[in-house]
Amino acid sequence: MPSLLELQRGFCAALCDGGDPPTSVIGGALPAAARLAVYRNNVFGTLTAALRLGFPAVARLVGSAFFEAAATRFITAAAPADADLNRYGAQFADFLAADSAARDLAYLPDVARLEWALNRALHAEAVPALTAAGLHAVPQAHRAGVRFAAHPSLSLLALAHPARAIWQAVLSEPEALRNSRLAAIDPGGPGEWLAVLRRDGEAELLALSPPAFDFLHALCQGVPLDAALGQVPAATAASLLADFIGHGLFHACLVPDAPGPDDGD
Amino acid sequence: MAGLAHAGADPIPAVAGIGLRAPHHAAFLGSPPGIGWVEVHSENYLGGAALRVLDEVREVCPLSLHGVGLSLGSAAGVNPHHLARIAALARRIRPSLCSEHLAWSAVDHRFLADLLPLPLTEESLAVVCRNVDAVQSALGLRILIENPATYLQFRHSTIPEPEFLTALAARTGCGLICDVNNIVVSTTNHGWNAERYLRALPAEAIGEYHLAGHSPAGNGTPLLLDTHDRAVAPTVWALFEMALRLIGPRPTLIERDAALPPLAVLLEEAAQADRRLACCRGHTGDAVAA
Repeated sequence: MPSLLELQRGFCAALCDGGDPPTSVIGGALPAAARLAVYRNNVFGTLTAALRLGFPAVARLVGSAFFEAAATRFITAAAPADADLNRYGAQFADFLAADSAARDLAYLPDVARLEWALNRALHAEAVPALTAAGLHAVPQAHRAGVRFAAHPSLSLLALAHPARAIWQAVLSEPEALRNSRLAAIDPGGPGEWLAVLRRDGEAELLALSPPAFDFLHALCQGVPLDAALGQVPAATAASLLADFIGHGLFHACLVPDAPGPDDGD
Repeated sequence: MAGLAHAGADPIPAVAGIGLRAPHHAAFLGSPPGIGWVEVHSENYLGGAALRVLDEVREVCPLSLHGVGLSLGSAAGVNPHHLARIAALARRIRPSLCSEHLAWSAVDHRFLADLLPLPLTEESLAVVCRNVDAVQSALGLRILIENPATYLQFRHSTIPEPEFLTALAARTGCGLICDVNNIVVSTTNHGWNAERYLRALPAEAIGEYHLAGHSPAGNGTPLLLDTHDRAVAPTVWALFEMALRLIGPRPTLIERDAALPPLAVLLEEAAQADRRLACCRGHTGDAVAA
């Protein structure tokens, strides 16, 4: 008699990796493999539906049969780690980039990256955004060395393909509009620098210039403001920073360590 | 487990409720129907924009949190990170009921997104009791455990399912959901006797009924599938009426998870359940369980 843990490992292998059903499964009127197939259909059906919900543009770009086959390979390679299926699919874009069946669709992983960022935005923890007043509360003397914490719903995407245009076009209705929009896009066209976040309950997409993107990226990495200013012309830095804060891209600002009473020699 | 609070400040009376799913959020909140209570799947509201919807629903009627991901049958225990998120949700929402399943879904950090069957052994009973204790401690609440719909059995099972559930309730102090549709599905699939199953359940531990639709597997496969994609079957209504006679009235849920009809269709099914609950109260003279 297998222990419960042994049984669960064997059952999982049979479901996901195509192994034989555990010998302790009773067949009877129906072979054990056919009984197991009911569960396998449920597992792959539920997880494929979760991926289709998170990646509707990818699903439409490749068609139903291709998407289901790719999802099946992905689920086998990377089952979710926990029960929050809204957070399932973080590696789907990288999987598509490495998947030989999708090799001819070079733009597909970028569309998946954009859709994953939109998912992250919708399901991120709800925390307030830093306001201009919050930054102004930092004493002038410390402002140059201030660091920013990105809002948890924010993703920064530097994409080699026009993924936003493709995403917008492929989700257009009706079909005639969709087809005309898709026909107007060169999938090998210029890349995009995007910030994706949730604002007022909705996902929001901001297109950035490459220098603005680099500036924001440095700030989100925790580079102090004075050091990050080297990324952009001084004349535009103040207005960019005001824009970032106006769009709620930061959660907080951290004041550089002031010497505390215990820090003195 | 002594001293555990029953969930929530607003107990749900023995009336019908519906499973509330995302496509019905707008219709439900736009014009709240006169429904006794609603149940949602906890895992769909662990953060982000959806959680705000739940805050609003909570203001309209009592709410039950029904988990589908704690994997109470996992030999290696409950995922502590997931349990902490469920506990945070329960603290925020203050549900009137909180429930999970007799099933497992995860092993070795792989979550399989289905309610998988357990061998019904003393080892499994000890595992599930330990996991239910951990959940009830983390939540500070008594939870209800639902009988499963299953498609296979294990050679080394030694405990009949209703006896397993009875022992689980006795050892942990948890309550039980009597899912009438699951009884119809499992007893059909395994050749068990549905009335005997019902009579073996501990009436005092039953805190809720679930009613749903099922479908034949097709392709010559002699199984019923727990699909929740259609109206409650006549066999399920008949067994529900027997349960009302044997166990008594309890909060009763109409569940639909696939092929969702308009909200009004679910409300009409809930009204059918309410008529049977009222009829049962009329016959027995029981007060509404509260």
